[in-house]
Amino acid sequence: MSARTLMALLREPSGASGLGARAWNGVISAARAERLLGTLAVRLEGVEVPEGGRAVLVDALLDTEREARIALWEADRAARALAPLGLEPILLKGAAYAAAGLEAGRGRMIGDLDILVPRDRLDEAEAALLDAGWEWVKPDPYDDAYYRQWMHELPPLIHRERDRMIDVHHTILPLTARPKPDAAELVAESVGVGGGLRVLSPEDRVCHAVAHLFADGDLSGGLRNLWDVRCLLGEMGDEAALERRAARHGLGAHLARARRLADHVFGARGERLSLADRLFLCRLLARDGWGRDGAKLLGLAFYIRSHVLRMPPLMLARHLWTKWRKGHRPV
Amino acid sequence: MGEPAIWCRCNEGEILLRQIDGLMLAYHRPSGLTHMLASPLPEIWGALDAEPVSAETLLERLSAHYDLGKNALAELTAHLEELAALGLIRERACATA
Amino acid sequence: MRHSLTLTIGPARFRIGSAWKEPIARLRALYAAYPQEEGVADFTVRLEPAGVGRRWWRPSVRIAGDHMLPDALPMALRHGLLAAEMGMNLQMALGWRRHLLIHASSVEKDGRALVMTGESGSGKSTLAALLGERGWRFMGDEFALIDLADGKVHPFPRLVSLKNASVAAMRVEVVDGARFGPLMRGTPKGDIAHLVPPAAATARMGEAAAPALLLFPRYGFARDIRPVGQGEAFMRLTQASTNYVALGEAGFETLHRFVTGVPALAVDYESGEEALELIDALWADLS
Repeated sequence: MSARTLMALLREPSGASGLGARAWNGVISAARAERLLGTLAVRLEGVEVPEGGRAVLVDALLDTEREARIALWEADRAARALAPLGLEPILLKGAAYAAAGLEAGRGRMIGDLDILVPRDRLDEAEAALLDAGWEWVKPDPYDDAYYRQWMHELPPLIHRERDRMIDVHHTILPLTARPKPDAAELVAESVGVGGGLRVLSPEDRVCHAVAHLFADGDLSGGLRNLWDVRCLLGEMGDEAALERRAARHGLGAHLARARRLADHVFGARGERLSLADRLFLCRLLARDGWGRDGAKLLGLAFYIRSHVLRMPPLMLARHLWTKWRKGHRPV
Repeated sequence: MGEPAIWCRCNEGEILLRQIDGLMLAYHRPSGLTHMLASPLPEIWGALDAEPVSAETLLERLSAHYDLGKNALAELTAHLEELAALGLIRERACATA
Repeated sequence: MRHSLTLTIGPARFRIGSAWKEPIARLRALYAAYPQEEGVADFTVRLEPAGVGRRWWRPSVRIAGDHMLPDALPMALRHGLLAAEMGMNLQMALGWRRHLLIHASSVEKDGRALVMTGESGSGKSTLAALLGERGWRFMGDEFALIDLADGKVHPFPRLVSLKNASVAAMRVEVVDGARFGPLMRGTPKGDIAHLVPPAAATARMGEAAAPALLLFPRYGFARDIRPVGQGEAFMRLTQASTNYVALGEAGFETLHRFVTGVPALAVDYESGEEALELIDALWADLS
């Protein structure tokens, strides 16, 4: 399976020189589908690749460099809009890694801008962004009410001239999820990176990546999130502080599992995997050589699981029913 | 916020300029956006330099070359704000940074 | 996937996989003159069943691959060839980064290229196909690839996609019936048949040409020729390019060089013959 070859190359790039065209095509498709092609390109700098392969990698690198530049500009515009409130946005995920110059940011696709603001300043921040040219994306009142009542972020906003999306979070997990990260602490411990922008503390960055990997979303694209975890752990200084921090956010068990998986997929494989870990592993490595998700049924199970984790059962039933009636299917 | 805003072109490395047919094309590297600037924006942009100035000073500079109307200061300020929102010029913040 | 094919068109290599045999067999035959050896592909296209069981029962093709449109509607299997072509176009439109890609047709004569761009229905595709049969080298009917370093036009001579009335018009022009693909009726774009480009187009598909004239043709309007200013040409070409924004500074420089170096005209015409006559006259004026 090609996700496994991709995994092997990310762990040990020198393996690329031995690949034939067929295997290489499989790796490229799997990497594109997992949004890891830019990351692979960074890892394979200076390594011999099959003829024709370098151009594909160079294209991917250019794309991620452009994404990072634009994400930082969007962050700058958000900072400008919020400055009159005395509020410095805390960048999350890709934009944060780019702004802080972290390894996880190298070659990473970014896309929408994610920022965190204190919950009690959310309304003001929303008004300031609307005033600066952002507007609502979703015209659907059900979705809008759903976001506002249950999610950890505002409904997505899009800038009317620049056509770029921003997600404004007030915590890192939906309010319905079982772990309750301490949002006030996330804000209090955040660190400035200049230009009126902030990022989470090193420990909280790991906690967020771990929360994002398991508790939020259906684990599709999880390989990229696991790569983030691997890179962030590698740049982590104080391990004991991280353990304490994860425990405080109710993410201790998640962190332990993420560590085991990252170690197994990208690391030295020093830790034993549990049966449940292996199920996660199958899901993470399901991409085949044509870029297809080879575990559709498993995917559905994880989709339902991700909703169970985020919502109590009755709410889940109501939500799925509303979604399905509108023709949405988790495939 | 009480202080009057001052403006500068101290971010010139971020902008790529090309002329076509009397229009000014500006490619703004950080946002990746292309702007087509029609008069009076190129003239205003041209009158600025890396040294921050107030709108009043800039108005004096422009008056030497152009015949400006009654509401000139208000209009100039609006144009400066427009250029700053696009990232083509900067306001005070970067002068001190 | 069960059936697959590797195909090189101009500078791009595609790997096409399909759950069904027919689309691949059709492609293999129509693209017989193009390189088909396996190698590292720039893009992967998948023609896959649109749902469980849809490989057999009312077979329905979902166009997928490296780059996808999330809400693209599935197509009937009898339109599988069109699905494959759309899949390849989509990869180019969303993923190609090595040239500035303009939604335009192009032909070449005496080492210089004529580029024609316009909305669907402008006739740019049919005009390029007609010119390709009348002494010009056909370079492409869908995308003109502009070199980021020297501004030359690179060919992307995929099959010509003929729609509705153009099919009959080209049957008059091209005697060799084997150059036509099957007529696919009732596709989302109307009746469609593909035409294999002339042998010279494939043999010389690695050969670029400097652009000499840019036309904005418009079919169905009384004969008229208007100059298009550089500013307007720049605006319209940014809209006709699928990767202008993605290329960033390189796209800006390349497009600026193009519009300042190539004269642009808007041309209205009422028949193919009229357009050909206009083009001949304009081309003669250039030299």
